[in-house]
Amino acid sequence: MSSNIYLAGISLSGLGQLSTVFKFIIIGIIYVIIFFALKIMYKDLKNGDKKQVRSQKQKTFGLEVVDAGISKTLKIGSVVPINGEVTIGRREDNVVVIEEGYVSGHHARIYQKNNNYVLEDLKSTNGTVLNGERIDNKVYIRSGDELKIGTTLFKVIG
Amino acid sequence: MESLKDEKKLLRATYLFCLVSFFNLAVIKPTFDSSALIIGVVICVLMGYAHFVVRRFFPDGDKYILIFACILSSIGMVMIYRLSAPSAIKQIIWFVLGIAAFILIVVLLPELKRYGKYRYVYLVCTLLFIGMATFIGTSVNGSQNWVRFHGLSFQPSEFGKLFFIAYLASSLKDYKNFKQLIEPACVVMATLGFMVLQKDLGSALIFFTIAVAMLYIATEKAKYVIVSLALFVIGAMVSYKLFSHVRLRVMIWQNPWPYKANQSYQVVQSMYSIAWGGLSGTGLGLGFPNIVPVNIDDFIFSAICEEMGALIGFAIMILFFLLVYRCMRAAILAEDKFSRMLAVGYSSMIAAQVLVIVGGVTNMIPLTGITLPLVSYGGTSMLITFMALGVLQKISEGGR
Repeated sequence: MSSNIYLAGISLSGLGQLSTVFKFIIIGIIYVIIFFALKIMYKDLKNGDKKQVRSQKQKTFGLEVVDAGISKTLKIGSVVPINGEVTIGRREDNVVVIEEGYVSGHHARIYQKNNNYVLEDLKSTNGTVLNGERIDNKVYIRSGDELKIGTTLFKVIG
Repeated sequence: MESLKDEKKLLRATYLFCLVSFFNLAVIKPTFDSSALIIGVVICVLMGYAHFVVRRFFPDGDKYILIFACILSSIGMVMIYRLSAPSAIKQIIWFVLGIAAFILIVVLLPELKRYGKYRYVYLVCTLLFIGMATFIGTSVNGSQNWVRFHGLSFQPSEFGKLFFIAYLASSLKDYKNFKQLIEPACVVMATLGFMVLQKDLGSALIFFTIAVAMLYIATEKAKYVIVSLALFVIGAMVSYKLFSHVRLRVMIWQNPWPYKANQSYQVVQSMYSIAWGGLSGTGLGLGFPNIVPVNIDDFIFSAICEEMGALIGFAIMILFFLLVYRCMRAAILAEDKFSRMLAVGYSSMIAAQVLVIVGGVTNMIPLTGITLPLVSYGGTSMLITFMALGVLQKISEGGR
């Protein structure tokens, strides 16, 4: 009987010892977490609001000119790589400039979102045609799709 | 990739925290409690899986929102397991559902810009959810803000909060002149009125804070903020005169000691508890947090301070600050006004909730019973917070 009480006393005090040690370990870990987090925030602020550099593993896409149509600016067979964002239109400030009447000033853009590429029609007058269908606002594009803007025909390669 | 390494480091430290704490909880029981260790491992797996999904399929978004939410929830679950093991198991189920809701929102929700036009849908939902408890609610701990529905009970004002923010975002997104502010102002006042009628003063304070924050971001004019603060003071004075429960709360706040056996029992016990813990706490299982009433819910912060120390209490505040910082960052980078307003609303919701309840349990402001988001036990609160974070995650993706 007395040994039982004795054992209970031991285990109780042993227990107390354990938790008083553990509490410092736990506090330590939490502050390590906060330290890591603050370091990350510091790096993030130093980079400004630039987008993070994308990893090299991701697939890269390009636009191949299949039919240059009536415009003179593009050559058949040339490839436009898509890095981040590509804008297409008649104005000079676009990445791909197509000089023809059927193309709006800022006609369409292609950008990357979560490993996929998105084609967005920027409310152009004559529309953007993907695989024979006129698109409505935004669609995902895949390799092999055919894209028609004005009289120019592109093929998505990647 | 550099940022992946950082995230992994942060996650590994979180796993370590989880395992060490649950191991501690396992050994303090008379017999070695292996279920605590199992729970610890389950939480780690869940966090890892959620991070993997977000990382793999949505690399454009902000990954730290989820990581910080997971750290905070795991601190909460450690403490809840210590206080009441069955509640901790329920809490894990809610945590799983919360993460599921988070991922579903990120996966299924198309671009948020589109939802800017359903202003009156949000208005109706807001008034429906907020008004609901006034008419068919049941009283729990003095506030009439719970609705029981076929055995399920939930707090409709929590859901109302989400719609309230959506409504304010869509009505303030094309702010041009003063006239456009009249309708939102009426809605805010109606909401606050319902909250006071339901005796849910904490929620009223949160709704008000959210509304002022969003108003300021939308209009960029300090005079509106001053006007609404003045209105708030008038409203507070009127409700002080009209309602006895408001007077009681203020009386306790001013001096809790004379009534420590009855009216101010909760807050006095909470203050004793925090003071007993001191800087580094008593250690898990060595304090007496069970004396504080509703300790897994509203008073979890004082239970944490007692057993894990005020240092962990500070750490929780810092982690919440970092979480809100990440959310505000999503607002800064958002491309359209509706998403921006929504992000501001949801992040100020989390911030306001933390300040109101932590201020309450330490008697800095009149105590009002609300949950500490993510940390407290409670299904509705967990689900709502994760849903809000899901929307924020979605907004952070759009920042280009």
